[in-house]
Amino acid sequence: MQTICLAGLAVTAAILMGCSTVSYQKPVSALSDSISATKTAFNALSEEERKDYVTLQIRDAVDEGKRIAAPTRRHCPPEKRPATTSAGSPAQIDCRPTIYDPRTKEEKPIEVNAAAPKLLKLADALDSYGKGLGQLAAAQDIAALKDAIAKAGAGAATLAATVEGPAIGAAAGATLDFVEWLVGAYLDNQRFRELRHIVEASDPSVAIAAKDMAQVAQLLKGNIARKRALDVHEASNTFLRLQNAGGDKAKTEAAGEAFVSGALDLQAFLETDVTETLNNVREGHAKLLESLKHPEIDPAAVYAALDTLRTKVAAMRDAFVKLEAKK
Amino acid sequence: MSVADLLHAVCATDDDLSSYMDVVDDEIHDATIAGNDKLASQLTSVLTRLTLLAAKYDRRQITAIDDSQEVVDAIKQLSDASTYMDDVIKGNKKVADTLGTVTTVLGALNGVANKFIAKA
Repeated sequence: MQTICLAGLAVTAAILMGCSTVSYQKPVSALSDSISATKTAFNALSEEERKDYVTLQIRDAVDEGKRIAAPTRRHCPPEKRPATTSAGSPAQIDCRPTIYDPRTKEEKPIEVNAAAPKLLKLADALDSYGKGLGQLAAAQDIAALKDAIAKAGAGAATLAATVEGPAIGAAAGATLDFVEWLVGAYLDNQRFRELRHIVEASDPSVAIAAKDMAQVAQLLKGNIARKRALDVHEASNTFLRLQNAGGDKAKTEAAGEAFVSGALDLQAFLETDVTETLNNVREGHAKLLESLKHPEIDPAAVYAALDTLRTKVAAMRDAFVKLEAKK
Repeated sequence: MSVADLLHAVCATDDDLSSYMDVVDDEIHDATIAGNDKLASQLTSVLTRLTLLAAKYDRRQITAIDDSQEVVDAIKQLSDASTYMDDVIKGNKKVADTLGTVTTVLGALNGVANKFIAKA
């Protein structure tokens, strides 16, 4: 009977021990970090494009002899009272300056909004999801786990108190340790199941997020690059003007250096592949899912793949930061 | 009508625009090589207009992707996933269920242990 009972416990333990979130903490944490870094880079890309787009509108207005007008008090009331329309209903506050074209007599507010507001929200949702995955895999001290162990301990202590004798006492002690371990393994196994469930359910959405963000990131990058190429032309013109004027040599050299350095930073930015990075997020998530569905796959292999992703995200951010510093 | 407006009128696609930009860019380069800073500056103004037009083309494409239903669905799905994980981590729902199961397992273990002790 003893043998049967112990064998039963051993089987239960073996079943519970099969899968564990502990071994997934490293790859899940790497994926979570990469998603966060990608989101930060995507947001920065969007913000830079937005600022560049505003600058382009102003520069074009100046070149074309258009006028830039400040917003009126009716649209941008400095007092706290809400503005009202002629019908008396509250008006939307709009403090954007306008660009007036004297030839067509058209007046339009400067466009200042980010190009893809919903995708920015999606990037936030993806980031929250990634952080949640990390927390789920790393959660070591769930209060419930402690409660369960305490209950197990109390149960075993009661058992120990009702029996006497060194042989039985040793057995009860062994049961307490075993129960503690078993409860831990059981909860860990439950977390593994939750992790697998949520990763599987979210995989199509992660794929869509990565695909759409990659497509838009490419367009945002194109807009930034074109505007920065224009900046390089402007810098080149400044250098040429100074050189033709034959004035201060140091100023001319400084303008030449600024122009060359701007061109080289643009090159570094152009060489980064934002699409590849986002595709790697999708692949990293798919690899994690595959590994969770087939625990025989070593999580270390998933981690290695995600490590490449982290390197690429870091390279993209570095190039971006460099370009940003030159503005 | 300015040169840039004319170009805007004839540019049917982003590719057309890109070709015009290449031409203007080459002209700026030639003016620079020739040391003609005035012409280079004037052509750069044309390039500014073309760059703005290209940005508008791209923003139109971005809006089409941004407004798609799949983006809206993905936001909801991932937000739901985060809420679900929060529940699991904080023990609001799933871990409570888990605890119930753990108690059952412990009950069974106690039973097994009792039998084991009785036979010892």
